[in-house]
Amino acid sequence: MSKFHSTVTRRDFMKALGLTGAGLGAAAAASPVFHDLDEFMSSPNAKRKLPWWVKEKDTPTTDIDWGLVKRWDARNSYHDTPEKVGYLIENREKLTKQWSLENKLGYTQRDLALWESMNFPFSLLRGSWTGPAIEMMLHTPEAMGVPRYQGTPEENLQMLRAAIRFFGASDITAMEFDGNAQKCIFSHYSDGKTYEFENVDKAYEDDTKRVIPNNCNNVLVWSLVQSDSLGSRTAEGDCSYANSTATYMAYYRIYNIEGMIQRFLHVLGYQGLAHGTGGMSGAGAFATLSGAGELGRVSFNLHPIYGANIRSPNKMLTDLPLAATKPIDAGLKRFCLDCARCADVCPSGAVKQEGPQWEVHGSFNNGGFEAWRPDYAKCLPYRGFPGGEFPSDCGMCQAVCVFNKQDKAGIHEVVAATVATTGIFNSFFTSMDKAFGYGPKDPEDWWHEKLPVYGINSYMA
Amino acid sequence: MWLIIGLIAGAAVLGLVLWMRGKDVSVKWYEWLIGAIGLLLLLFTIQNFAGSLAELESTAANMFLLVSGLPAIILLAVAWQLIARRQRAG
Repeated sequence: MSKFHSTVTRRDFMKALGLTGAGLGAAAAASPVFHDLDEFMSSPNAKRKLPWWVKEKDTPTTDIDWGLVKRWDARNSYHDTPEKVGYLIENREKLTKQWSLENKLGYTQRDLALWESMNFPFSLLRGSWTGPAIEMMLHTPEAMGVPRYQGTPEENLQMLRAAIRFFGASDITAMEFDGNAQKCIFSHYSDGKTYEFENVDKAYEDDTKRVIPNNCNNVLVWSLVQSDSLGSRTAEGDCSYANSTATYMAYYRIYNIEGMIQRFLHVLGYQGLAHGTGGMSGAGAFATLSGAGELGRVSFNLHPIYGANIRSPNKMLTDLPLAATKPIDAGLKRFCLDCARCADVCPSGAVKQEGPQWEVHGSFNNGGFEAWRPDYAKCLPYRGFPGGEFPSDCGMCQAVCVFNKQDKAGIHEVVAATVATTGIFNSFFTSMDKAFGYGPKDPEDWWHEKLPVYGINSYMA
Repeated sequence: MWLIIGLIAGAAVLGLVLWMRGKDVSVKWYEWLIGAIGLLLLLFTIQNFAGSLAELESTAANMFLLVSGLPAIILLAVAWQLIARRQRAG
């Protein structure tokens, strides 16, 4: 028999062709086809898919002494008081003009234009406590005289995951709003109003307080990935408008999505209490407790897939029953113990080089848990505030995080799985991250690159 | 991409084996091992090089060529030379 000619007969070829056709037909028949929302939300796409190396635990990797946790007063925030926010100052105006004229890297006139296109009144970020004002236009069960939607807690979470991913968020977790979790709610907001728990059916707000009904006993947490292709444009050793633009773009999206979730819940017949990114509770609290990530060195919630490239894990209280997700351990906090890239690049020294502590640095921190707490008194001048060194918000700590990786190069999965399993390679991986040039990139290059819409790889996770 | 790389790699290995049989070239087990490690390292390099470029991480892409691509080429060259020199000696 010749080695150089095909030994496949015409009959075998036709048989193989038939089998291939049958295979394709079977694959097509097995492909998901959705006829309604019920089928859609029960599809695997609506389930939370954690990478295999992420372990679900009963307690978060952050040690918490609930006996020491007290409801924090947000009037102590360095970010929210009216005298510290929302106005430009002489120094900032001077630098803006000077750097524009100098074509300073990251602060050119077109960088400024991009940044200011995202600059909008921060009061909008606070959203609406009980929901958008257009609620009267919604076909709620109350308005239509029909029973409200009913589903199991598992079905409800899947339904919300399907909807909220469609709205634009990246990950959705949930937890029970029990006695300890209630301590995560601020005592006061920066406007002086208190957050109160009352035995009423509906949430409300008056001149002195925002009221949480006791029936809102579930917390929904939704994390939004921001554009790392823009967020990373901060040359090492300096901040930039570009980095800040990515942040502000995320805030725009958060504001819109929050309203969408509230309207979605209202039409189903349920409440959704939210107060933007800076209201109601600290951003990392419910995220860490519900498994949206681990609390890292900059007090960011580090997501196992998106790293620090998350703009504020957002939270909403609801009376819709939700299946709780568990806290996670992906070795992220342990990695932060050995890696301090964020602290290395912090221009203010606000991000600490030492390990996590129980002590607080000032009234702007809350106590009761062992964590890295940035010194916001040092951070503030770098966030576009009065007397500041930079006109825009500095986000270099976020931009250099080792976990901000895309999913194209296979090595990232190997590193992430190793980090989740053992900490002995952490220092090596930190060194390699620097050697391979990950982290800040030239802001000028961004204008010439082919990037996805919103600068986000929405296929991740 | 992996489908195409797998097809090309499979075809290349098959072609190599057939060619060596035709030429009556014998290969020791450790030569197979060195060659296989070199090939795996080469595939690892290709994936991470292409992936890093897709991630707009050009420095990382070049580092992969250096850190894993170069050893891959060296291992494949060692396997080739071991076989070739033994053939010449034999």
